[in-house]
Amino acid sequence: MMRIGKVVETMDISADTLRYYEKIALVPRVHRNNGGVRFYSDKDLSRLHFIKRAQKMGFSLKEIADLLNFRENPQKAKPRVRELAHHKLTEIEGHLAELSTLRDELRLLTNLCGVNSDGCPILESFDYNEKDM
Amino acid sequence: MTSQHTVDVEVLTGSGCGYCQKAMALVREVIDELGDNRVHYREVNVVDEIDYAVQLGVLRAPAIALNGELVFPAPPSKAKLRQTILKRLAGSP
Repeated sequence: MMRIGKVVETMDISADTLRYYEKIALVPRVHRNNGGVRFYSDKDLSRLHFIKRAQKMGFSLKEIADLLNFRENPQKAKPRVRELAHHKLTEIEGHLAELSTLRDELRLLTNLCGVNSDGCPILESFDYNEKDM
Repeated sequence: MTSQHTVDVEVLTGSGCGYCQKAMALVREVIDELGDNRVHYREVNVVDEIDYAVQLGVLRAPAIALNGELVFPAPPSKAKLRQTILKRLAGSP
């Protein structure tokens, strides 16, 4: 079990946000000690990690709630939730492909920059793209 | 009988890259020596054609592609390049 203060520190989520997630039922009611201090189980922390990752990918809290339902019980997920998960999966695969291309471009440009005596092709590339616009 | 196979040789270069000049000279020399009009030569500046370079899998310049496939991620010896082009002309992959 992890105390709320430690969760704030390690996951970089504010205490207000953690309380809000509980209020809107994105996270089930968290265990509290006698003093009312929240303690998060491994399962709660796993949900929080999932929420954080999903937010980084641009999902809304409503979508995340649906995805969490799907995650909890994929066999019984309603068709709508399954469709959302499938749609998001396709989006993520698209992002991955774009990121992969971007990584390869930057890797190539970085390598060129290392051996280039006249300048850096990374800057050339940006100039070139600006002319295209 | 001469086969119909052609070989497009592309040297992937970057501006200001000293090794690239040497690689281009090497490739041109091999092609001139072969004297075969089925061998076509092209220089590709990886910054100008970065999408194509990335699609080929080029990580650094100079590199050499044959028929749209990155065959030499770094310049080979003259003999190796000549041998590989000849194999392609004969229809070997």
